[in-house]
Amino acid sequence: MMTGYRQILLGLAFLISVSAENTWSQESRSSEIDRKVDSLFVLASSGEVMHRDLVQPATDSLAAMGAAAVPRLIEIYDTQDARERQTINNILVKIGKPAVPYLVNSLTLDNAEQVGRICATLGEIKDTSAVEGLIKAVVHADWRVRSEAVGSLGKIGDSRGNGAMTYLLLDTVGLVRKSAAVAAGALLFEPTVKTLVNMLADDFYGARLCALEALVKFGAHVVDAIADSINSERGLIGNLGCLALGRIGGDSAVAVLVGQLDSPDYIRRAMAVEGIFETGSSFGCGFVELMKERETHPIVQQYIRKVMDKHAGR
Amino acid sequence: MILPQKEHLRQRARKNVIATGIDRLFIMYMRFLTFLLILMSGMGVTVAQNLPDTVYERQALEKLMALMNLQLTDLTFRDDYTKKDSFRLATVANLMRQPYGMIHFVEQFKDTCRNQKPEPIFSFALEQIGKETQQFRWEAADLSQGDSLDRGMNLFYRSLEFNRLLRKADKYLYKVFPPSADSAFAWLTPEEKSFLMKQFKQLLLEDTLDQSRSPQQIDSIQDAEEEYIKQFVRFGAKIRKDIIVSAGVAAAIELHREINLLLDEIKAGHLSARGILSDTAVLPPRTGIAQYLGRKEGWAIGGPEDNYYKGDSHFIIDFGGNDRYDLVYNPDNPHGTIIIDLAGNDIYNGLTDFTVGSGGMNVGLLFDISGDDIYSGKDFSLGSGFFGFGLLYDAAGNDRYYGDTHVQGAATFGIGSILDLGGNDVYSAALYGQGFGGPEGAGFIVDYLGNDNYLAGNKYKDVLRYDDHYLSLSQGFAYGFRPYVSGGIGAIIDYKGNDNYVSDIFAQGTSYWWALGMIYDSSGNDQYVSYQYAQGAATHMTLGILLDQSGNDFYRGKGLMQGCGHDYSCAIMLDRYGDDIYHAVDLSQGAGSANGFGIMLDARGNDAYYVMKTNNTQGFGDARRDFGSIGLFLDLSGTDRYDGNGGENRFWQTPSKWGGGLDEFILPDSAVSGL
Repeated sequence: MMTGYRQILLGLAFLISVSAENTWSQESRSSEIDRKVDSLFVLASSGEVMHRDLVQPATDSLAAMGAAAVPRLIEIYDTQDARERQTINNILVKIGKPAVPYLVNSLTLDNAEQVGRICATLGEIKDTSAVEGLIKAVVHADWRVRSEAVGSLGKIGDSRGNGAMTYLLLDTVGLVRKSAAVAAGALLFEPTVKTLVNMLADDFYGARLCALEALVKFGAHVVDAIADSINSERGLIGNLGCLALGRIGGDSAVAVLVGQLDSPDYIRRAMAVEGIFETGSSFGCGFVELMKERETHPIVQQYIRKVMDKHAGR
Repeated sequence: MILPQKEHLRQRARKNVIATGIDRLFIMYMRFLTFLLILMSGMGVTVAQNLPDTVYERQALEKLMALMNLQLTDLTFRDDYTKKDSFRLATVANLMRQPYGMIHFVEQFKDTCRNQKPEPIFSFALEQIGKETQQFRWEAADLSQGDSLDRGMNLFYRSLEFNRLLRKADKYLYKVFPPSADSAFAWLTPEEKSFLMKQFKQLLLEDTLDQSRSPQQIDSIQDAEEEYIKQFVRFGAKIRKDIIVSAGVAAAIELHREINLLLDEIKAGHLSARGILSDTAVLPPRTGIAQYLGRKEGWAIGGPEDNYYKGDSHFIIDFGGNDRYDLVYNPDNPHGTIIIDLAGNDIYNGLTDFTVGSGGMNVGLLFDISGDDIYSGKDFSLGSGFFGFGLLYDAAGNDRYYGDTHVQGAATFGIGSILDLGGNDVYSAALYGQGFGGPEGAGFIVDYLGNDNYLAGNKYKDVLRYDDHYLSLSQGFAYGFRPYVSGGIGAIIDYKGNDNYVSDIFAQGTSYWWALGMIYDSSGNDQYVSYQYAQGAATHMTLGILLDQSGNDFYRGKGLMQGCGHDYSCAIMLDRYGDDIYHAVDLSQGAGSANGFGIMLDARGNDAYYVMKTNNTQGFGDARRDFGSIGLFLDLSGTDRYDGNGGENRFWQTPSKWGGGLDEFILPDSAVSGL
């Protein structure tokens, strides 16, 4: 009995010793990797002109380490140095898919700034396995995380992100709405069109101009929605709507634009002329030519001349 | 047969007369209409040009922005792109919310300086270094309150006016500065106090050896510096700089007044230097001379002959002659310094740091009333306030100012200034000088008269960017330690004269990290030359402005300048009057980069604009972070020449996000569009 007990104890001791050795060896390996990452990273993130030749080889070596380098890179992703931050992003993007599981697991870190950066990197890697993690991040208390998360959902372009993106189009922070608008232009989720049209008068210029870009990407589907709101009291909707219609083009867009040539607001007339210029429509150009005689505002006249010159050049 | 013919001819003639009359009437009517039109358009222009400058410029900017579907309210920044630090100045924070307000702020600063009186200038400056989180301002500690004029003092000199000046100096040096310095740093441990003069000071110094260090060495230096900053952040908020700075402000104001009273008496012939110095008390036997006012250790009083002063002085007053001062300061034993020189061409030579009107954890004042003087210092000298107050006041003469780092109107946690009232002056510095504002600092030069030369750079290489350019970080430049400690306010206000501003990297109305750098040049045909980050530039969540009121000016540089805001920053280049020439290579003349705003505005005069690259200049916005930056270019009147995107009498947009320009402030909309 005693012998059996002793044997069990010896067995346990052996197991513990083997396990400890393994752990030690893993830790040692891991710290060795960390050291390697650190030493290469000093060169990769070096900004001085005289050391510029060392940067790319070091970056490439880190990327070649693959997944092994990722934990350490994530650990130092809380750096306050912009160059270091950019370097880490570049390496992780180069590593690509193997880095994604580590990055997704790190979305729960406490440091919001770090989490935001991880979200942004995931967007650049563009791997769909990050989508669920990013969707969870869109309700983060820190606007920077929300902004990067929705931006990355747009970059990945997976329709599972539609709901999160729609939700953030109405965020209280302009920069988040901007990122959501950019994502909307990538995801092309039709129920967001009305919101995007309204966003043309957003308080934040980044949001309204990105909404314009998004609407253009939707194409002819959004002409009616823009036409419905073009005479909105919020003048920016009509002005930017004209530019959107111009870039979308087509007869129905031109018809709406022609209707704006008589606007009492000279900027609206200018935007309508610019829209027609963009469409390249001869039909629209004819109307612009007709308004030429009666137009008195020098800015609008300048826009008209641009259309006329283009038309004459054909 | 003949009659009808005659009748016909008569009728034709009558018709001709009537026709001619109608023609004449028509011609007259048309002439009247033309006249009316000219009058109206003339009135329109007159109305536009009679508007106050600020209204005129603002209307034009709003018009340009409207054409780009932007609004003036778009020019704003959030305060939380990164974690907020506790050193952010309220003035900077407010201006970040409405950066176009920089123009008003610069004018306010200039107006405050106009009367050449220290009181409004320093009161204003003190107000500007209040922190965003600060609820109230701490006052100077004054242990002399309640003392009668000469209580407890033995008088050596008999002149009442002179004794009053000496007593004021004595009061500040021994009863105001020491308790104020003690109070300002009372919450710090001895190690923390020592840290300020050692490790923290190192953060503002560069080393020419960096040019040849390995990446590992540079990395370890950067790591150490970052650690110093983090260490400072842990206790920096405990510093009550207001206390020592207020003491300096009060002393500067009061001593300036006393000096002028004494000078008035001398000028009126009531007093003379020799009279004052010879009319002394008969000392009782065995009385220690050091017990007498004006005769203390560390004090020196010199007559109208040429004198030589050396050492770590507390107080010097010199009545004339061409004097030489070899000054030293022991930072381990901080104390106040007051130097007053009433006449002569003097040489001030700082043999150590913290000399020549420098306040290192204390107050340093230097008043030189006349003469062509030479001021030469090492680091932290010539109107430097480093956790303190430094003033170099020069009332007249063609002067030369030489220094290395943190010099010539430079301040970090304090106020550092040069007030130069006249003469053609030369300012030469290597780094962080000539109106430099470090964290919680307002550093400025106010130069009232003369054709001045401001030269900065040429010592410390910009190893991050170039192997043949040097950092200047000067001339209305402000700086913070990104991203831990926000910066301050750096300014040059130059009223008259044809001035030259020459620098290399970072200068001339520029700043870095939550700070405000500015130049206001009121008149003269000025020349601004720099290489990069200059002439109304701002990089990384910060503000910069160059406002030149009048004169035919010349602006030259490479890039990121002439109204260029980079990374959530706003920069304005505003030239109001004169025929000006602008030359740049890239990312300039109204350029927004990385979500920054750049505004280039020339209100009047026949100007010429030249750029080497047209794809990012004259109204350019860089499309960073999925959205845009804003670059705005405006020339509101005159016959102008463009080499680039701009053109005479037109509006343009560049293929960028979002940039455009407007030449000529076209008639108000109501006059042409019937709105």
